[in-house]
Amino acid sequence: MDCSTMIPDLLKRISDKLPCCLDYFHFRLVCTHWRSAARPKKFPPIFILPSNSDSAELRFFDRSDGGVHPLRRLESTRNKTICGASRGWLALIDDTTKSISLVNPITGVQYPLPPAPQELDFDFHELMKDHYISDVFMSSVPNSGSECIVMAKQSGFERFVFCWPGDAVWTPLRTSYEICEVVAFWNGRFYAVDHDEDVLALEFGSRDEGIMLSSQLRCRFAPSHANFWNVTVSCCCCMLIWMVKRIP
Amino acid sequence: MMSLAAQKEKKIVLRSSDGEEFEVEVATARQSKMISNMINDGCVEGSIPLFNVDARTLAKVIEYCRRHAGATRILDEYDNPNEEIKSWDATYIDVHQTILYDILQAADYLEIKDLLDLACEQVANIIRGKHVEEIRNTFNIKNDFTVEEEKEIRKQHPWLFE
Repeated sequence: MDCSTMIPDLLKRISDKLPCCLDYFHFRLVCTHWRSAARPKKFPPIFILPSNSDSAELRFFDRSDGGVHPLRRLESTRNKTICGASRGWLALIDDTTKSISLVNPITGVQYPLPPAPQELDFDFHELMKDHYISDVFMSSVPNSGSECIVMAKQSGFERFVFCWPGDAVWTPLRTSYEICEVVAFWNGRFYAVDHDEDVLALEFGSRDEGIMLSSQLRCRFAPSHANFWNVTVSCCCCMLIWMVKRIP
Repeated sequence: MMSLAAQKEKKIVLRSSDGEEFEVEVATARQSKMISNMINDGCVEGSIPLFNVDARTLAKVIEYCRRHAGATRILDEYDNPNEEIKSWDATYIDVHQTILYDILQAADYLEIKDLLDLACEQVANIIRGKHVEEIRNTFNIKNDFTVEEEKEIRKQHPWLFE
């Protein structure tokens, strides 16, 4: 079978039968002939589903075809529990060593993140050591060339720590506000929502200067109301869109 | 137009690229839009030479057309082919990739839309869930991207690469 000479129309017909984005991307990476036959397409994001760390594969939900698909666990994601996801990367805690890493589930590339601190503030934190962080948010992907700062939420707390991949320790985010969620990064600033339903803009100094947090800007964006707090912020060109959802 | 019964009785001859002749019922031959047009235009005296289809592939394609010529009327109330023909199709298309590729090309050339769909679906099935390298190995394709092109692609999909 010499598929490299297959006529473009046939290749297009075949690629049209690949509703799942990963299959389509892989199709376009095979060779120049295949790539030119299948035009670039936009796909909605995929959702990695919870799975046991010892399972042979990860599963993800793909909205483009409405199906749940298996994704073979590469060596770097095996026997690790997902503790967060950001920009297509997973934060994983190794079941045995408890080390934390940032892994691209498609390519298997990984970057080490600092481990959970040896000394934690409270006694009951033996459990917390195993699940030190419960969510991550990155300023950019670690291999893009842009500066990547990883913001992580500490399990069971409304507290955040951050690091640059490769750091030895997590640095606590010292702020006078009680942040409940970090929701966006845009134009050099993280955006977070605090318990008073306000949005905080957090700006970091350069890594060399060792400045933790150079500015905190607080803006009231919605009338204070106990029912409002689940906020999504997305970036669109140079505009931030705030979406406030009322929790039923 | 001849009646369906008369069409079934009448036979036409298809000649493969390697010279083998196949006698088929008109209803079977008409599964191919290309041949159907030739019949309508009255240019099927003697045998029809098919320069792009060899005997092995033609035999396989005729098998499909014969089954579907008898089955075109068997549609359920939503116009879906019934389960029986679907499972027949699944068994039929479960062939080695070399044959699959030949069927694909022949279905395209002979304009047999359903068979073309079936063959494309089967190739897509083979691709699904495979990584690029596995797809290349399966279909014996060489990665011919230049270093610059790979770099550009990596930039577009950084999350797909190391």
